[in-house]
Amino acid sequence: MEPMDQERELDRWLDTALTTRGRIEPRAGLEKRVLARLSAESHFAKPHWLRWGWILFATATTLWLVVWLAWTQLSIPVAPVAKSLPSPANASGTAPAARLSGVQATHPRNLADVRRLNAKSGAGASQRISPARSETFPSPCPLSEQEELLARYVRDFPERAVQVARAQTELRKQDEREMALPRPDTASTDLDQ
Amino acid sequence: MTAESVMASEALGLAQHEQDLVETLVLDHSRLVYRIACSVLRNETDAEDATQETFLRALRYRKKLARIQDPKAWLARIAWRVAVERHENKIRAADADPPDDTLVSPVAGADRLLLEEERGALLDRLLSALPEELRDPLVLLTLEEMSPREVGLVLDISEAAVRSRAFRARQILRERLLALTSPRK
Repeated sequence: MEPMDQERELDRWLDTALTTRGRIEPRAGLEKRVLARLSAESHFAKPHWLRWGWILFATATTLWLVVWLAWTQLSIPVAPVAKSLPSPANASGTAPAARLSGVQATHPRNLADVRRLNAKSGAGASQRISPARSETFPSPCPLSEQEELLARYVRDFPERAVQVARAQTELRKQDEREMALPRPDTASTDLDQ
Repeated sequence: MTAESVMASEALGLAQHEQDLVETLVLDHSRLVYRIACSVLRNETDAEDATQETFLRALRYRKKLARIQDPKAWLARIAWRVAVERHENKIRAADADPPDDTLVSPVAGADRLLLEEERGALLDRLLSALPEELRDPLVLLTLEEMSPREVGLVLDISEAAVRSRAFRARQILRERLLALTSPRK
């Protein structure tokens, strides 16, 4: 190939390559996609005052809520409840009158005080928060092995468990009756002696 | 005006004249913006992302759109900046290898390099080896929508500089191509 022809060929190649490079077509619907993206990014177009308005509104609402909640918490009458809470002495179940010493309680004037105190304590009993009695409401604790066995037995054989319980109750009642009766044998032996 | 564009403008919170301007910009120039982005990024997905980013940036100036003298050159300039930024970030992220100096595959011969399917890849490699100030005017001039004046506005150089730089770039490309196709000694 002549040098001139070769250069002409190269020019043609370069022209074609450059033209092809510049003629890239986008996928169909590029304009729609761009408009959709612009609408999705609408926060760019929102006026500043609107955004700041929302921020201020949210902040003010939050502050008002916090203040209101704090005020509500403070306005709850805590002091009377604290006074009526049982002291360690109260927790043991003793009445205020019982706290007075025996000498003081026997004095007529003191007896009147005791009555007044008892009346007061009776009136305030409904408002008082009494501690839960452990014998009535035992604290939840896992059952022992024997208790578990018993519970399982009752669950598996409820009728037999009832029968056994009844039989035991009858037996205990019978024992109590026998214990309550006088013992003729022992009396006679005593007389014999 | 289509229902979609009405919905879009409502979502954007634009006034009627602003909405018309934005829509006109998108409809008239989105293809040019895409081609500019693609000429830099050489990837369709990246180019589309860059196109959308270009219009998002343009939307920030929606109040001044009516006063812009040459919206096409203005958009082209934004698109060019967006594409170049993305390209640089991509290179930085990928820690790309420097361009191959030899430009010749040890397997493929010069004739094979001139085949149609490899033309684009070869041109990209040749262009990437060019100095930036020569490459950019040539790349933008290959886009059929861009005149030398508009390329000058995008690159912030005079029209004469655009022409001379593009001519020099083209000469360098020819020489390198000639060196590739000529038989080795």
